[in-house]
Amino acid sequence: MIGLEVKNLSHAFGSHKVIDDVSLTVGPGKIICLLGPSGCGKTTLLRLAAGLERVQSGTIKVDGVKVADRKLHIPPEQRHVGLMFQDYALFPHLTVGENVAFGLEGRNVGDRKSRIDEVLGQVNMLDYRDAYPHVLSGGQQQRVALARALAPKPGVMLLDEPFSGLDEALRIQIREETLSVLREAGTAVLMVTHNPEEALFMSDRMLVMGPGGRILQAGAPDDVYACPKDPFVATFFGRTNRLMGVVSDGVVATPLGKFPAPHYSEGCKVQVIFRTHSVHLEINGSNGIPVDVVSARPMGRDTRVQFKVPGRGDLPVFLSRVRGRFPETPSGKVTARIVPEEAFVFHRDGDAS
Amino acid sequence: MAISQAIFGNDRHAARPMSQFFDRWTIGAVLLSCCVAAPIVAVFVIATGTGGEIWAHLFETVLPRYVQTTLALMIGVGLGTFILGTGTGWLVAAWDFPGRRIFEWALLLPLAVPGFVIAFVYTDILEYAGPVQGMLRALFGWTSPRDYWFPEIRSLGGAIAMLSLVLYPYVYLLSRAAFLEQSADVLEASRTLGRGPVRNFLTVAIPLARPAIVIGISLALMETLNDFGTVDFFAVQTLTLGIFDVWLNQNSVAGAAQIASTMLVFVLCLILAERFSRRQQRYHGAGRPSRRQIRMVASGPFAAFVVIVCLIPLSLGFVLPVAVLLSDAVFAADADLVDSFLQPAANSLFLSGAAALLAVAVGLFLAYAVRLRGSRLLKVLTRITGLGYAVPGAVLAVGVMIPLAAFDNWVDGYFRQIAGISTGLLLSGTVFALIFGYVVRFLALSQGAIESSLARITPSIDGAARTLGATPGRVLRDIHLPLIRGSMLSAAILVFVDGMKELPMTIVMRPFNFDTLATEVHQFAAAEQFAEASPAALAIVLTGILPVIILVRVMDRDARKREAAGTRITGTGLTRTGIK
Repeated sequence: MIGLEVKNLSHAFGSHKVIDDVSLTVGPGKIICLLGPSGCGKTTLLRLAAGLERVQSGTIKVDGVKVADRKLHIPPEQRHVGLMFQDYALFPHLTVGENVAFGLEGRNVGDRKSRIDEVLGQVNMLDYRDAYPHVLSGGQQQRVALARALAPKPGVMLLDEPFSGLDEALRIQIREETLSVLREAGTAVLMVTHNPEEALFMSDRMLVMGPGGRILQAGAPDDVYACPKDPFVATFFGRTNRLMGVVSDGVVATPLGKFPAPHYSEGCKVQVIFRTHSVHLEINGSNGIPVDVVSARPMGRDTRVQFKVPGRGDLPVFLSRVRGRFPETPSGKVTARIVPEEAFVFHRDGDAS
Repeated sequence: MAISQAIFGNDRHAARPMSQFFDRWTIGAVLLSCCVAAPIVAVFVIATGTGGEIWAHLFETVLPRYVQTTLALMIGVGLGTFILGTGTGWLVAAWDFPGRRIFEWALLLPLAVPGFVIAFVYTDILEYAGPVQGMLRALFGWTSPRDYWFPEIRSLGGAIAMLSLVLYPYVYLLSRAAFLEQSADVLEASRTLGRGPVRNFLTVAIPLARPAIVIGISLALMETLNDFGTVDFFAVQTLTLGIFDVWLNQNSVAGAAQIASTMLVFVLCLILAERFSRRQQRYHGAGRPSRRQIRMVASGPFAAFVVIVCLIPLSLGFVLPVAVLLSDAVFAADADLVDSFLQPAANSLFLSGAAALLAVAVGLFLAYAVRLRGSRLLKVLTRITGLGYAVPGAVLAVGVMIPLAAFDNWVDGYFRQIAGISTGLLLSGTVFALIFGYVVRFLALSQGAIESSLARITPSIDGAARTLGATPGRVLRDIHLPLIRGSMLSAAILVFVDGMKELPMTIVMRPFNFDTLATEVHQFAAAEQFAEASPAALAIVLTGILPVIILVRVMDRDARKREAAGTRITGTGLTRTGIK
């Protein structure tokens, strides 16, 4: 097939396993995000695909051609795979135009020039063709790096944390620009990030990698977010709370309410994980569990409220994020209700915090 | 290239599993490192491979004296460079006084003067017929040596003084950097706990800078072991002198190799001390980037005292010798001298230039192969090739000459047997052998400079270039070479200048009637023709200023970085005579 195909890839540094039996495919025009905490093998996977690292086990195919397995190693310069580095890795002694031209060696001068203008135009950097990288801002460097990687029209494009070097405001803008440039290029894109929001925004399909280098869940970004299949995935998209309980009659009863647990056997010890904004706090409300507010700190749009269940000193303090303002000393009884479909039930041995 | 392609295939077919270990970069690097490491290994093989009776004989006769004298010389130079280097380093780092900015770089200048040059200059000045004693006699009306006591410059003490004066900059440079990096908080905490500036220096600043000081002294002592000219001229019976004596006068190759291997034990201790301290340096410097100290201002009589203290090593180690050489050279200048100067100068330029080019080329190849492949084998091998810098020239001479002679004899014998012709000595006593020796000895300088300058280029640059379709060769040519050009030039200069100064290897290995500036100085000085020695000596000293200029530029860069980042710069990375 056209694009990137990774099969049963495993990799370890010494005894430290960073990629554990990973398989994935990226078709043309698709953007796949590999999401995971720092320290798992995300970047290593990109380096393996690009040929900067030798495969220990598994196979990698680019456009249907096997480029690497335990024995085979096609050097990176023959793979036709574009890689954009986290630190951009622009060549400091070459101008923007020369940087982009670097990957166009072997084409005639006219072709080269028109391609340089074309990709620099796509990222709005045409005016900087003769500037040196050190005079560019972070966002501009990012665009040049993108243009340089896309210039030779690689069949597969790899992006390593493409926005991590940018500050918050710029990141959102560059993200949108990058997305449209990549869509326009129509190449197969594999992007690596530790930022869930970025992955949700950019990807057609998302893979979540755990700390041991295993793919914990793969699917459409919405599905992964809404239906995490693993405690780690559930906790990765932001702060969460955790409750312990035992399944009885397909239901787990907790101090903060009952949740359906249809696929668990009777007496099974489970944990219930819910996100901070899945907790609804009401003052003088009718339904929900009565709780005591410990603190309420305004966070701009939201209020971060800590609360506990009265008389249950054994339970931790819970955290919720409430839309709007919430008083630190409420005028009446406060009740908490957790949206049942946003509470995720897992076996207790699944490690999560 | 063609051969390696035929055997191992070009990159397109480099896909076979074994190519991971046997591509052309790895093979080239392994071959080069083996060539460079061979002489060092040879010394051990020869020393251990011969009968024990020579050992026993050496032990009973000369060896104890050589060892004792060498130890005494090392202790003396160690102390001397410690006092001069640490003292001036601290004054310049911690105090502000008139002329500090000039002293900062000027205190490095004595590095430009080789030991054998300063030795004959001071002999010229201080001997019985020299100006100093002459003036004293005129002043006090003494008429013969029996009327007064005057220290004998041609002695162990004299050698210690001479070597300390030209080697203290190693300690100065490293201790100054360490003092500058020390956190103001720590020093001020000590002040608030009741320590004055001087006690603070002795009880806080020096212990904190200890790793840097030990590295500096180790480097100075490696140079001391390498010195042949000074100890030969002063007839101080060190191991270096012993090698020459046993080899050339007693004609015992094995004996020379055994003394050489004894010397390697000393070298090993120094290398271990240096490496250990470099590791320590990390801990001593650990912690958050801290506020820089504010220089204390010296004023009044104290300022004058500080200036004088800094002037002493500078004037004795550089200004005075250069002044003497200048005046001698001017007085001695005549047509004969110009003739006897030009040929050795051309020889020196050729030898050092060729060695510099080769050392940079080999250093670049090795450094890039390690970057490219990063295999443990290559890392270990290039560590070994880097040891040449610590091995004294006399020892390397043994290690280069003996295998070459064996090779020549073997080739000669082989051709006699099959063709009945004698090839004679192919390599021994040729310029090629000498250049090879230089490269072995100075490779660490170029390799170190290139390695550290490559290390400053982030590996993702290589990755970016490779994924854009560039072969490793093109990455080196189009990306790395333009980026590290400056460091390669510095590396070449460092090797070149050390080549100009090189004496012990050149004396033994040079072709018949082939003189360099250094051997010229050595011969004239040995014949007490000091004026005749001065033009060549002056030329060596003047080229010796080049690396000082490079060091000053590095110092400036560090200072700018320190100011820009407001943080510490870890490790100025001074190697034997160079920048790392």
